[in-house]
This record gives sequence, structure tokens and C-alpha cells, in this order.
Amino acid sequence: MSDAEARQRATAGRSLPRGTRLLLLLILLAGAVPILIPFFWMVATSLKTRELAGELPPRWLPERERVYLREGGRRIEVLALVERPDGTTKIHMPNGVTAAVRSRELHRVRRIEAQWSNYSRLLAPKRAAGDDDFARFLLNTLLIAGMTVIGQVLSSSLVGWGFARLRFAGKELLFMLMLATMMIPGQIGMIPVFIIFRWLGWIDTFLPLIVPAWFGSAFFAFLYRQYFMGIPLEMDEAATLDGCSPGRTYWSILLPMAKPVTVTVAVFTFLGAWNDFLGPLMYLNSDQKRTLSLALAKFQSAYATDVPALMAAATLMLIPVLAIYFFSQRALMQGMTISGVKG
Amino acid sequence: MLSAIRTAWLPLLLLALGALWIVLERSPVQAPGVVVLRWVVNSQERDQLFARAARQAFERAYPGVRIQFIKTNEGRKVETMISGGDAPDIINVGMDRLHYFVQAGVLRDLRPFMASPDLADLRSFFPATMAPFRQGEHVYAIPWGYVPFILFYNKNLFDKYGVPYPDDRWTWEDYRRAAIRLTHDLDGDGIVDEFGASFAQWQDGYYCWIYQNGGRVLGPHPRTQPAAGYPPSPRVERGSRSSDGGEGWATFDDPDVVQAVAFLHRLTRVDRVMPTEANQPKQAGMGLFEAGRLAMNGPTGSFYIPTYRTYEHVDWDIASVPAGPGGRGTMVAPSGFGVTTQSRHPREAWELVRFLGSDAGQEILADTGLFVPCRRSIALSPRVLNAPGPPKNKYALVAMMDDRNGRRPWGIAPPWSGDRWGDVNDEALNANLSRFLFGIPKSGETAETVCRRINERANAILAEDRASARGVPVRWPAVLAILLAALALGGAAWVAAVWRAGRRSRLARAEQAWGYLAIAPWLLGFLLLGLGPILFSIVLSFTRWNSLAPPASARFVGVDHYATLLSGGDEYFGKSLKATLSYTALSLPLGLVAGLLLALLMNARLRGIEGFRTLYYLPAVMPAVATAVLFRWLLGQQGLLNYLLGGFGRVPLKEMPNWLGDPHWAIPGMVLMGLWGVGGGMMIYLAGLQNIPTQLYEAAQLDGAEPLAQFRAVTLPMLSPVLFFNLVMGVIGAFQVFTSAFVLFGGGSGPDDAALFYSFYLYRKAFEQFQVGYGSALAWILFVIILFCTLIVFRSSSFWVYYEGAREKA
Repeated sequence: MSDAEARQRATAGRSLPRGTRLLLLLILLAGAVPILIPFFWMVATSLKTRELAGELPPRWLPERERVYLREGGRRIEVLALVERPDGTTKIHMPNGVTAAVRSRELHRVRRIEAQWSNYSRLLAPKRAAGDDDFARFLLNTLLIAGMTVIGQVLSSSLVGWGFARLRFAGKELLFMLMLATMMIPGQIGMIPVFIIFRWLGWIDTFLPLIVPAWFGSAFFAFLYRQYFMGIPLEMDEAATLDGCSPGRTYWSILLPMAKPVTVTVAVFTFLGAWNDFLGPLMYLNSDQKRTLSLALAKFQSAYATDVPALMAAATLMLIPVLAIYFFSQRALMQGMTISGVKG
Repeated sequence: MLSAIRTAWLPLLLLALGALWIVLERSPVQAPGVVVLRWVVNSQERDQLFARAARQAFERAYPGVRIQFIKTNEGRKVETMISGGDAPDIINVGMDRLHYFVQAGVLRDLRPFMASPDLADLRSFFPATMAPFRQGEHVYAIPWGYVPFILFYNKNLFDKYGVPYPDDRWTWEDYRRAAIRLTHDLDGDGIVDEFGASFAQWQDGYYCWIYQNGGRVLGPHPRTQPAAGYPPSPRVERGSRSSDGGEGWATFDDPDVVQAVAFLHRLTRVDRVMPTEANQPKQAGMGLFEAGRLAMNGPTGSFYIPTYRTYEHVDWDIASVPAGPGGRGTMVAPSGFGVTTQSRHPREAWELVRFLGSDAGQEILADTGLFVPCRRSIALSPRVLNAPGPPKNKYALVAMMDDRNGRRPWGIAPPWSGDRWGDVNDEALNANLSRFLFGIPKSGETAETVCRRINERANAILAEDRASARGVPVRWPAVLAILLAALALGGAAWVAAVWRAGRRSRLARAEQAWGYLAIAPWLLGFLLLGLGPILFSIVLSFTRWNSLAPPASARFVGVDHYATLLSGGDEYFGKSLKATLSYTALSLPLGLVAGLLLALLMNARLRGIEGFRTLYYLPAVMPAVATAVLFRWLLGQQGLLNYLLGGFGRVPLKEMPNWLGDPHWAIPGMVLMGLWGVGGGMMIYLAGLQNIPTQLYEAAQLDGAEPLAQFRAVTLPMLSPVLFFNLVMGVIGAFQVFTSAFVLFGGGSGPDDAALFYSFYLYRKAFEQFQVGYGSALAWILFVIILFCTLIVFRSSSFWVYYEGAREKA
């Protein structure tokens, strides 16, 4: 199916009466609320103080409570430790003195105040804590993701083309086999594959994370194959008449036509490499070879009871993914719509 | 130039990435003649502080030796490195790993390095911390630091209610009375705001309570007569010794143990002074102790001290754990440093290990306050007892070890016996006690029946473990030869068939060559990283192999694993199937209906509809880990979701579902999280809808079909392949649920194992307990189930699918 045809189909819904349109819009708007609340809540919590993070009824904007003691016309900010039943409060003063004062003398003031420090704590670990080099981690991650994407696109499209367009003995059987491998739980091969990479001496290199992508993936090859199946055979025949070899037809005619699938495959591969945790964890040992997800996962366990920091980490994990999604979404949607899932 | 870039962008990009690769993979250059020792250090600040100070001191004393840190926060890093053949030179080993390491030959016997003063020096460590590492003639590690189990308490809360502080002579009754007086519901909403007590709710905490009452959990004979066929415990060097005795049998039904469990039950269920599933605290952005809402945390490990020091609102101290009526005791978790057998510089590594246990190394440990030094002279010196900073009562850290002036120490290292003591902890002890004490209780259960159940399960596990130790060693060369021969034979037959097919014409031969060239990447990958490993894992599933040990130690056990699984001998297998299937049964239809409805909405011709599509699809691109972290917070009983569902708090939160804590609500909670990401399924249905030719609708309209009739006559049938495909893919996906459940339930299996998903159980067996053979068997059963579903889809899909570019079959 061609692009033009697809677009025509995409807009082929029947025109609707005005009332129905309004109703639909309302339903869609209502449905957007539960989709958005968790996102909003995540970002809001990431900017709160830990004291106020869990309070109900919920405050949608981050607030901070400060406690002041009025003393001789001056207001000093103190830490309220504990309120006692006898109407006094144990406080900690800035000069290091702990004292008990009457609870009424304390003024509690709440102001909307975002705690950006929740983010800076994550992004700028103290120099003394080690020589974490986030620029280096970013480069590592980008290298792995980049190499993975290139390999995945080249290999998967080639395999998909082979299964869609070429005739060779055992094709049906091999195709079934390829689909069947999609169903095999990854856990089965994990240990043996690890042993193989170890035997090759690839532990603590990027190779175990990159090379598998260059073998293509069954699912992405399947996507390409579906797409190529939808391109009329006349295209190939015309190219062959013009003297193109099969390889040339693939590279110059079919692959450029499959751009929506290529974007889909590239984005999903990139996201996979970006979010991969188990792979780097198993294969990378040296400090300077860590990836971002490993570094981010560190926060997960280091801040187990620090919910705002956790939410900040989750937000940070999401931001690059969101950026990629927004830049590629048009092609991505097209790729998913056209290649579809036809069984 | 520009056009060159345009045409050659791919080679250029590859070139750039390749250059980057070379730069990033380059290892730091080492000066010649310098020995580098690798040491895995936890990435937390306090561990780093110690390691850096120790490195500085050691490198000064031993010029020519450099120490390289490998920072990690992941508990399994060391194990992964060992099985990757890339082990660090020294490792810090605690009781939980000692047995596996010794058993697998990971730790080098240090005895050959030790001169007689070194041997004599071993007596300078507290005996309870030395004993686990010394097995017969062998010394596997030099003690380093130990974690004592103690009681933390918040002085502010004790002051507030005028309760006297705990002292080292406290009994259980003192503890209980204080806890009751310190538990308060301040605002009268039925939810406790200040809890009296909490403790370490995993095996170590339970052991501690048992030891407090003079109980033991591992003895020479089971008290209750074993059911049948308990083989005698084989006298091999397998079972690592602990202060609790050597091999032997579980004694969880000992009266001292029962008494401890009954006391705990009274605290959680009758006095209700501890947070439980039925008695939950309000959510907060910090732990209860830090928030000043928990008066006593203990018995628990001293490892909280560095964290508690950062709590600015809490004035706290520590005390010894209270004594029970049956005796006095507490848990200590010792750890030591050993040298790996893979180390290429064992002598230098030994020097480092010795240094860490020496006066100088132990003083550094004392100063950083990470753990309590195992060396008696340092632990009992002012360096520890008068160290600056909280807690004030530092003696409570060493009281249980103090053997001066004929005092009897009462610190006890946890037990260990055989390869599957980890299972005893998880499946027998933790599972039963966490339900009995904190979860949703079964009716009619008493401390006695629970203890009996724990003991029976524990001894059954021990018996299984010992029975399977007798097996035929696997001959790997023979296995490999057979596998390779089979592969070669199959390959040859295939090549012959292909060659024969290519003989028909030159054109066919050329196309065939192109075809195999095109699929070569996948075919190669399949053979090397697919088929080979799969065959290997079949073999593994018939063996018993501790994956840390060399493959030569694997033993054939035949179909034992499969027999255990399929005969119902493993209740967790059943539980994992149940969890997985009930999740599937609930999430699939809901996701299907919701996704389809949304897709129908999204297919409407409406301005801005693309914006909505993007919006609804957003949750599907969120990284799974981040989603689960978020929902762990949203789904709490006192969380935002319950507040909103209950009409903005009109329904008391106590009456709302306890999504993460109630076995009946755990799966619905997971499903809810899944529904949030329904946009992914929606897009697939939308794709299907847009592939339906409009002519069909036009024809239906001409026939006068109403929209609903059109939906039934056109949309549904045309969409059925997609629906069916999604259904089967959903089943497959459900069987592979891992990350989201793992994070949502905090790395556990949920209340009463309600969220013990199949993949998680497999992971636990193969990667947490190193039972690779059993894990492989689980993986194969999973494969059979999935294969069955796949066959169904392929049988049926060919009837429906129509490809525009398909060729007639030649």
C-alpha cells in the first residue's frame, strides 16, 4: 500500500454530526485526566520536600513548610522536632541549641516552593563520593545505542526483505522458526549466552551489548517483511527490467520506501538500548564503562525511602524518551499503522 | 563536500562511532611492574569512605601494588564477575554467600599463605565472627566487620510520653509495655500515627527474636519424626559450618522458637503496636523512623547508623535487644575478606586481606563506623566505644561479643546448611511468618501450627537437597561432542536439500544465493546465540549445577526437576502459575475491550484527534521501571489512587483496597497499572481499523445497516485477526511479566506470594539461588506453554490474512 493510499484511509472515517463530535471530545478529554494525573503527580512529588510528599488531601503544587520562632521582634527559622501533649514543642535552633517552647509561639508558614535540589542531588553527586562522570556515561550509552540502531536496521531490513521477496529452499520452515524464536523466553538462553561471550573474552567490553543487534531481531525482521509484502511486486519488476540486481533493488528502492518501519525499528531499538539494565549489569564491570541506566538504577536503591528523589529519578529517565518520542511520533505512528499486525 | 556527506552518511557515521568506541573502550594504561588488585566496593558514600582510606594506607605500606575499585550497588555484581571469569582479586563475603563461594571453589584457601603468627592471630577475632570462615583445616576469609542486631529508639517520642529509655537489661515485657504506651492514633481517624515498634522483617530479624529466647533453628536431629524417607545427612564437606552447628535438620518447632513467634504474634495482632497490612501507616516521603512516627526500630542491624545520623529531626540512641524468658542472645552478621581463586596476584591479594583485618585496617573501619570491627582489641577500644557522633550507647554494639573478665558472649551468627538454605529462609520461614504476623492471616492458625509448618517445609527442602547431591557428574566434552555432531548432521542435510533445489536453473540458484545472503544475519545469530544456547539449556535442565562453580561440578539428576514440578512437589510453581494465569485472565479481556473502545474513538474524524492519540500513547513509552516506581507510590492503601477513588477522601482510606498488601488486590493493582498503558494496544487496533477498506462500510450503509450493525458485520470480523493475535501475544507477554512486578512489589513476590509471577520465580531460582538446572527446567515448561499458544495463532491466522504483495505458490 502506498503512502497516499494510507493517508486516504487514515482519514476515511465518516463525517459526524456536531453533537456527536462534541460528545466524543468530552469523552476524550475526560479520559485524558487519568492518563495525565500520574505524570503530573510524579513531577509534582519530585519537587516536594520529603515531609510533605505523602500528604492527603493532595497538594498539586509543591509546598514547603517553615517553622519560625518569634523572639524579641525577630523571626528565626527553627526545626520543630516533636509536639508534646502538654502544649510544648521541642525545637532545634540554628545555633545548635535544643529547647522546648510553647507550641503557640511557633509560626508555621507554608509557601509554594519547588525543591529543585531533589534533582541537583541526583545529577551532581558529591565529588568525594567517587569520580562519577556522567558525560562519560552518556557517551557510553549513546555509542551502544547508536551502534545497536544501525546494526538492527541494516540486518532486520535485510532479513525481512529476504523473507518477503526471495525464493529459496526451506524458506517457509525458516520463517516459522524465526517467529517461534520470538516466543522463547529470554531467560532460557541467558546463562549459555553469557558463557559464550565469556569464552570469547568479551566480558567488560561493549561487544556483548552491540553484536547481537547486528544479527537482527525476529520481531523487527517480521515488521519489515510485513511492510515489504505490502509493496506491489511491480516495483521490483520495474527495477529488474532497469537492470538492478536484487541487492540493489533492496538498497535503492525498497529500503527507502520502508522509512516508516525504519523509524519505528530505530526508535524502539534506541529505547531498548537506553532502558536496558540487565545487559550492562551482566557484561560491564569497569566504572568508566557504565551506562546511564546503571547509573540511574543506583539512585533507585540508594534512595529507597526518599520518595521525591525517586520520583525525580523516574522523571529524569523519562525526559530523553519523551524527547525522542515527540520528534519521531509522526513517522512512528505511520509505521505502526501501515505495517500493522496482520497475523 | 555536502553531497559527499549526504551520499556517504552511513559509512561516515559508522566511522565516527567506531572512533568513539576505540576511545571509550581503551583501558587506562598501567605502569609496568605495578600489580593491580581489583576490589568491588558498594557505591554508597560510607563504603567508599572506608575503601578510600584503606586504599591510601595500604598503598603507602605496599608500594608497587595499586588498588582499583569497581563500584556497584548491585548485590549480584560479584557473582556475575566470578561466573564471567573476570573475578575481582578480593571479595567481601558474608554468611549468605559464604557457603556458595566455598562450595563453588571461588575462595582460595588462605592457609598456605599463613605463617604461624598469622594463624595464632586468628584468635584475636571474636570467635563468633571467625568460626564461619574457618572450616576444618581451611581458612577462607579473614574476619573484617560484623553487623550486630540492636534496638534503635527515638528519644523524642520516649520523652513525649514519659516512657523510660530502653537499657541493656530490658526484657520482652519491658519492650512490649513501652511499645503499647508509644502507639497512638493522634487525630482519631482510626489510622495509627505513631507506632511503638518495628523490626527487621526477614530471616535475620526472625532469627534474632529466636536467639533472644535461647532458641536455635538448626540441630542434629529434627524434633518431630520425619515423614518418611529422610536419608541420613551425608558426611561430606558440603555443608558449611556455622555457630549454629554443622549440617543437621531444622528445629523451627522447638518450644523456644514457638514462644518467640507467639510473642511476636501478640505484638502485631493483639497489641497492634507494629505496622501490618491491616494496620498501615499513612504514606510519607520518608521512612517512619525518620518522620518521627516510629518509637523503636529493632531488633535490626546496625547498618542503619550512618543513615540515621543524617536525620535532623530525630534524637535517637541504641540499646541491646531485650532478653526473652528462655535466655539471651542476638544475631550478628559477620563478614570477612577472602582471595578469589581466579586472582592472578594471590600473594598481594592476601597481603591486602591481612591488612584489612590487621590493627591498622580495623582502626580505619572503626573510624568510618561502617561496621563493628571483628578484632577484639579494636572493637573494645575507645576508638569504637568513644567514637564521636551518635549513637551515645556505643557499648550496645559490642555488648553481645564482650568476653572480657569471663563474660559469656551472646552474639550468634546465622545458620546455614547445604545449597538450599536460601530456600528454607524464603519459602519456609519468611513466607509463613510474614503472613502469620503481618499479612492477611488464615483462620485457626496458632504459633504452634505455623512453626510446625515451617519446620516440615524446611526439612523437606533439606532432604531434597541432600538426595540430589548424589548424581552422576556431567561429562561436558561428551555432551558438547554429541550436540555438535547433531548440529553438523542437521546442517549437512539442510545444505544438501538447498543445493538440490538450486540445481533446477541458474536463475533459481542466483535467487537462492541472494536469499541466504539476506537472511544470513538472522541465521548466524540464531545458530550462535539461539539454537546453541537452547540446546545447552535443555541439557542443563537435567542437571543440578550451582552456577558459581565450574561446569565440571554439575551432576545429572535425570527428569527429577520436571518430576518435582509436574507432580505438584513445588508449591511455588503452582503459586506462580496461579498468579500468572489470574493476571492474564483479568488483564487481557480488560485491555482488549478498553484498547478497542479507545481505538474506535481515535478513529473518529475529529480535529485534534492526533493530539489525543499522542497523549493516550504516552504511558506506553514510559520506561517500565519508572512506571512501576511511580505506581508503587500511587497504589498504597493511603495513596493518591484510593483517595481519588474514594470520592476525594470521603470513604476512609482504611476501607479502601490495599492494592499492594492484600493478596486479593495485588493482581488487580497490577492490572490497573497495565491499563494505564493501554495506549500501546490501542495503537495496534487503530492500525487494524485503518486497514479496513472503506468500501465495506459504504456497502453496509447502502444496505441500510445501523452503526452498531456495521460494527458487528464489518469492523469486528475484519479486525478479528488482530484481536486474536493480540490475545495470544498477550498470553505470551503475561508469562514474561517481570520488571513491572519486580519493582512494584519491591523485589518480592507480593503478599502471600500473590504476585509471584512465573518469570520472577524463574529468576529467583536461577539467578538468586544459583539453581541453574532447576531454572532451566522452569524455562522449558514456560516454553512449552508459550509454544502451545503460538501454535493456536498460526493454525488460525492463515485463514484470515490477505497480503497484497503475496505471490502464488510456485
